[in-house]
Amino acid sequence: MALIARGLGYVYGQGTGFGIDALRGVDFDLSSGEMLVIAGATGSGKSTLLRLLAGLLRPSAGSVTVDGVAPHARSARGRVAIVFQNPESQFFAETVLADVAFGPGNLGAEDPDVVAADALAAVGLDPGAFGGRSPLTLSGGEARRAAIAGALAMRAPYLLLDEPTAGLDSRGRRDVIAAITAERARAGVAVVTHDPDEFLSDADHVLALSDGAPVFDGSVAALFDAFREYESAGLRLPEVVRAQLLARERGAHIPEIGFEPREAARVLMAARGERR
Amino acid sequence: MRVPVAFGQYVPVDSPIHALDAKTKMGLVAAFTAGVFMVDGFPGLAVMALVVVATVAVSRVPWHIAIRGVRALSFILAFTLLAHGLRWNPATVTLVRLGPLAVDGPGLVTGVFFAARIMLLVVGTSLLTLTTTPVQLTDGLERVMRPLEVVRFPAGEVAMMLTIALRFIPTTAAEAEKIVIAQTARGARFDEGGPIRRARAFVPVLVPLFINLFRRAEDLALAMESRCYRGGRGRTRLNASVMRPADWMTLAFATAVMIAVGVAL
Amino acid sequence: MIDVRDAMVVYPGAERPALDGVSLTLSPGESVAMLGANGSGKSTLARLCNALLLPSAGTVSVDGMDTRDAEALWDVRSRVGFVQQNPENQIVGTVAEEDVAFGPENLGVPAGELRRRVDDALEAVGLAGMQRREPHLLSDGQKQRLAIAGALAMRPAYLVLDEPTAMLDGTGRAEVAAVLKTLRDEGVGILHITHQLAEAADADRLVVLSEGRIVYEGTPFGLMGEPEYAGRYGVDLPHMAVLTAELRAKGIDVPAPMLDAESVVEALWR
Repeated sequence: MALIARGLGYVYGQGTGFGIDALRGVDFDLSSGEMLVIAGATGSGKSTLLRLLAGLLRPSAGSVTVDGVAPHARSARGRVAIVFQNPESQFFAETVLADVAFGPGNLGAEDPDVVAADALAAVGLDPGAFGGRSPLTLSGGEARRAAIAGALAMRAPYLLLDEPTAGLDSRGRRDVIAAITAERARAGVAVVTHDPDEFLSDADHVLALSDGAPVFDGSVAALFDAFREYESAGLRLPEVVRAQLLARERGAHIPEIGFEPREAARVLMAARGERR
Repeated sequence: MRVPVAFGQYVPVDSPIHALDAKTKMGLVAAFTAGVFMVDGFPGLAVMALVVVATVAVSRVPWHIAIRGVRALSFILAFTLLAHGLRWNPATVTLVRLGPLAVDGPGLVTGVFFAARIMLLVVGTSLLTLTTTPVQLTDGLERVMRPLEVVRFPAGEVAMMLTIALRFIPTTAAEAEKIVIAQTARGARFDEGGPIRRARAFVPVLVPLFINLFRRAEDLALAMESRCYRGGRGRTRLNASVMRPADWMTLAFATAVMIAVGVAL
Repeated sequence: MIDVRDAMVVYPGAERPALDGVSLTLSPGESVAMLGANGSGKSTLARLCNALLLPSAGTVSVDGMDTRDAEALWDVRSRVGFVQQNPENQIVGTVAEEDVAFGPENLGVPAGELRRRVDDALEAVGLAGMQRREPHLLSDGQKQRLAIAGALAMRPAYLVLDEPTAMLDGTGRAEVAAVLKTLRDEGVGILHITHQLAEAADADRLVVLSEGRIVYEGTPFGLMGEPEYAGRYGVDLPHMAVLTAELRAKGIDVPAPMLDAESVVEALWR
């Protein structure tokens, strides 16, 4: 049971003579309970990949399967939930609860409002306090979380998110990250970002794209070993992590990389002491 | 969801017609329209048809695009023909009879005349937008409307409104597409059920689209105020449109021809 | 100089003032960064600077002109360029050059001079040669630079930017930062509102707003040395600033916060 892609490729405007090769040769595996980070600059093909995985586009090459069926098949309906960039610009209902209930309602859930209330609670928004409010009165971080709840309410076993923290202030970002990482208990989660800092410490697996092709695909530990290649593709790891990798390159003994700055300072000091 | 290519959309090729100033072309359209209404027989229409064929050829606009407007109006054309050509229980002699319904000879001729007139008007006037960019068009419109400012008509403001509308068409189309995809991902269906259900399915698209448009409008108003916009008065233009001698000559010549044909035929 | 003195702004129906007695100056050639959580009053202060908003109490003046003086309104606005967060929503023109020309056209700048200003402004933001490009074909970073060019074409002495990079990716952010740095060096006064302290590192002065009051004014690095203080006002220190503060506490010689990994490793294994 997994969301799987093999040799995935997509050409915009295929057969017109003006086709744009947006994605090629991507393999992808996401199982329940896993967190995958998809890194890449704007235009690297990340958003195309998400649309293919969600069945909103049909692949030009290769294949996608959700638990063994194609994502656009009727039986796959509701198996992949996706949160697009700036999802709060898609609110339409008069209350937060009604908006979150839209997805489950479309999927024929028995009691969409109950499911919606659960989803709001899951992102840290009290359904009693927020459910009856107009979505337009929420702050940036609250609105983003409510929009994410709209996807969670579909109870899909796979959750895809496109730049979920973009444009939020630090408090909003923290709240959103907490809501997303908690979802891993129930679903497979893939986060697309040009700034992998925030999700790296929780990631099981990293897929990096550049100009539509994979430049790295593997565990976080393997990514650290290959960080020079990753950087030569125009991508960048968090500076705190880089400092430890650079030290390692110089021959310092660093068995475990720290993600938090204080932890990183401890790791670096220990390595320095050891070498002296 | 893509915005359909509207008939009359600019065709980016180089031609003497494209090179004319927008105001000239508006004048030409006015003269042509007057000419078409002045002629009262088929010889006159034939001359006008010749004018249209020659202009389309010079403009290098492909024929299938130039006549696209006629297809859009095929219903109106058919109606014109039938309204003039069919008679219910006529007393006079007719060409063909089908029970009480009859095809009336002279009526049909009148129908053909009116239908041909409509076709010529559509093809002739659509050449204006086919050979002029929207920006040139709004600029030209502003200049043509300027005399109306005497009667307090806000020509500059109307032109600015049109420019902004043009500017935000691609943005709004892209946004509509994004929202459709996002709501599809949440299980919305736009292709199921009868017409009412289908129309209702677009509520989750239209509501956010409008909310975002109002937000945009607010931001844009701030941006325009910050850049000292205070209405059309006293504004200069980077690419002011100018009438060159060729423009005046073309306009004068065409007007003369139209009046001559209109009066003579 | 932009001189904000004891400015107070109360929005109708609000419980507390959006700005509560704020004083701030900005000189030509100086760059000031402003941080604060959402709702701290940053955008309100930005709008005071070019008379989009007038203070309920206190004064705002630009090169000696009071923003409340209706006669001076257009002078004030042409001297203070204003750039907003959303790159898409502030572009008026259907092609790049017409957008840049919009400001000076409104000021009645004659055609020859207009062309020169437009080309200079596009050049200054690195968009030379893109005169006829349609805005929707530009990247977000390019759109935001186009917005800056639109302000520059009015030949302003100051630029006020309200979170200009919040919607950009790393490349776009770097492009905008480079343009702002050049403009500062050329003598434009810059007020850059952001919610990332790392982006403020190059500023001459840093101001932190919280609930409508200024709670910190000093150098960016000064604040980076005080993680607890910064945290109290909703400002997140760059992770590298926290890391270097830790190292210094442990006796490593790092005189100022270092934001790049290379310098830190250099300092550790000197």
